[in-house]
Amino acid sequence: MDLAILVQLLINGILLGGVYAMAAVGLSLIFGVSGVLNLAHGEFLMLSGFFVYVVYDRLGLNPFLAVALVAPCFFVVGYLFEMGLIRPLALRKEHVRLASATLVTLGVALIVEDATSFASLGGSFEKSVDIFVPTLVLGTVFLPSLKLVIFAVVLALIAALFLFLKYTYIGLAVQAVTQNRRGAVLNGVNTFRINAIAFGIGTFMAAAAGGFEVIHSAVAPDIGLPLTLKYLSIIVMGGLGSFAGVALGGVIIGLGEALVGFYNPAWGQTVAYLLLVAILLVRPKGLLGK
Amino acid sequence: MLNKSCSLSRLGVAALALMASLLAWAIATPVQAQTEILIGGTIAQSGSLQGIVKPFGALGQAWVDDVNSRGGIYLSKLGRKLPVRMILYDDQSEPPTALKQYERLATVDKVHLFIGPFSSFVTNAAMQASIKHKIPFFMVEANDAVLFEENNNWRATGLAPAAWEYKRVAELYKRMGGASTFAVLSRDNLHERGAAQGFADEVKRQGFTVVYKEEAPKDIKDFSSIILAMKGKNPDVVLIEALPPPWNIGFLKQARELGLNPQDIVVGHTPIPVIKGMGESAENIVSSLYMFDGDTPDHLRFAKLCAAAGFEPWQYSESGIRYRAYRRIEDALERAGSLDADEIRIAMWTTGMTLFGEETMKHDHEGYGTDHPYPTQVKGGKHVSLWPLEKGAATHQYKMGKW
Repeated sequence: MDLAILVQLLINGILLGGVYAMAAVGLSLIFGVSGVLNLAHGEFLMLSGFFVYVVYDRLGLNPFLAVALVAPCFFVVGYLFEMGLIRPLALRKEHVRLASATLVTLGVALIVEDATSFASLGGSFEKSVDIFVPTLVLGTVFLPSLKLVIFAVVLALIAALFLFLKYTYIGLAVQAVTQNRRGAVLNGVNTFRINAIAFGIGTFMAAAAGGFEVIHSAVAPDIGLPLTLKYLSIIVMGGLGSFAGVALGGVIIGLGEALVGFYNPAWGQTVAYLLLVAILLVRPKGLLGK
Repeated sequence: MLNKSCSLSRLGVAALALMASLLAWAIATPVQAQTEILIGGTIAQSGSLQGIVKPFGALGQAWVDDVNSRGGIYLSKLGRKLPVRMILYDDQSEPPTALKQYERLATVDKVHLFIGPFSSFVTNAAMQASIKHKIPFFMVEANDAVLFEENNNWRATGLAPAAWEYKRVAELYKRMGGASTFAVLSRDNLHERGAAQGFADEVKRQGFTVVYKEEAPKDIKDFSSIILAMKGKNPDVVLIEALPPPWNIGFLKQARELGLNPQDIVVGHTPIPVIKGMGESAENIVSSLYMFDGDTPDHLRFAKLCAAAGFEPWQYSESGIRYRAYRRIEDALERAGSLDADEIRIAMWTTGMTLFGEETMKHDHEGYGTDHPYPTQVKGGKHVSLWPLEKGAATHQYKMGKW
């Protein structure tokens, strides 16, 4: 393989990993704190992309500004989602609670997918923002600016999340709940509230990723569940509860897809799951799991 | 012995009484009056195909209203015109849902004729209801070879094989000159695979070279590796064949981002979401419609029905196939002269008519028709016809990498 092509593939793979990691970090946070596999995560991403499009299209706002406006609203959506649908299951036995909560998120995912299919607002729901961010070209290597921005935002969000968890009371409470829920309760932590905050932050991350999705590609009602499955692979591969692991998992899957997809696009998609199985066989807790 | 013969007599009397009651019921029950022609089908109002066909429910109703405004369709064996009623359900772009809905149309609604859904893979499932219940099935937007493998006389279509989909596009490049190498990418699905393979075969037949050909997964989001591999082959023309708009938009945006700049880009299905999503970058993308410019009665009627359904003909490339299906159904019913399933089926198979003043459609022995699309180019955010070839060659402009 030509060196220039290899360099381009590596860059593509790393940047793709950044795109994946953005939403996967949120899913990891929700799972780490509440133990719930939020199968509606991809639907929130899709919904956010749609609202970003609506704000951009109807109000004529810059799409990046639209993302900055829409994504924080999804913190509230995630918070309320936990309060309304997940919290009522909290007093059930642990295994029943987790199974029921996961099924509730699956139900919500299917409802959102169907509902958005019909809520077409006068046209099809398939939306894409028409904006082109010029690519940086260094010799023969192309650096897509938008993906670079996403990568930078992912790193910034992970850093901000790290600082939030390490230096704020709520962040420390989140960590306490993640490590030992009963111990956190005995120390006066309101675990219900912490769960809701985790859902809020996680959904905000999904919404930010959705905003970039509609700018970079397109959103449609049926994109949610397949994306959620991919994010699940990434967080399991990286190690449940480890944000650095999620970033690493995203980059490994991105690189795998880029390199294999160059020779065979079909196997490029399958490689994510093959890598997941291979890594779990060697490290059952994931790459950086404890 | 006596007891046995008594009980046999009683049994005989009971059987006679039952037969008499059945006969009386049969005489008393009038033959259900045929007051309307009931046509049933599905169209995606949700799911991955909705962006291509959503308004075809309204288009179908516009056709029904148009036919009924003239009193309906004349059935000679009944000696009168019957109005048409069309029942369309949402198949959610999913084959199992489509099959369920066609079963409902057969058993609950009891339709006389099925009109097919959009796409080969949904049709493949829906058609099973037609075979099971022996109801004629007019396939509309479905022509993958898989559908023609079994000897099924209950289905008919006006479409040529999927492999013909880009025959006229290939002819246009031959006519224009200036391009010699082609890259072909399709979504890995029924119809899309067949149409892309047909294009690759046709351009080779025309003396061109196919330098890249691949199929990519249905749910792929990142095309960067494919685009890089394509760039390495430096094709003059890139063709992508995929039905869902997000698939096409994803490829085009990433091609623009990664500097894939062929002389021309052909996007088989370029509905409004693709044109809107790509904005000015959609300019000069070559595509296709089952339509071309003209002023025949069919052109005028088709435009009128589209207007009644709330869109312009170019906005939904497959609307032209729907119109052709309506015309063929009218024709078949008139020639059948009754609502007898077998007579409708035979009339559908023996159809031969001129549409849009140009062609006569006849089925070949496998059941294919002759309809295949005409090349277009996006100009000013609209499709402009590149047909006939002389006009197309004069109108067409190479994209020349201008995004």
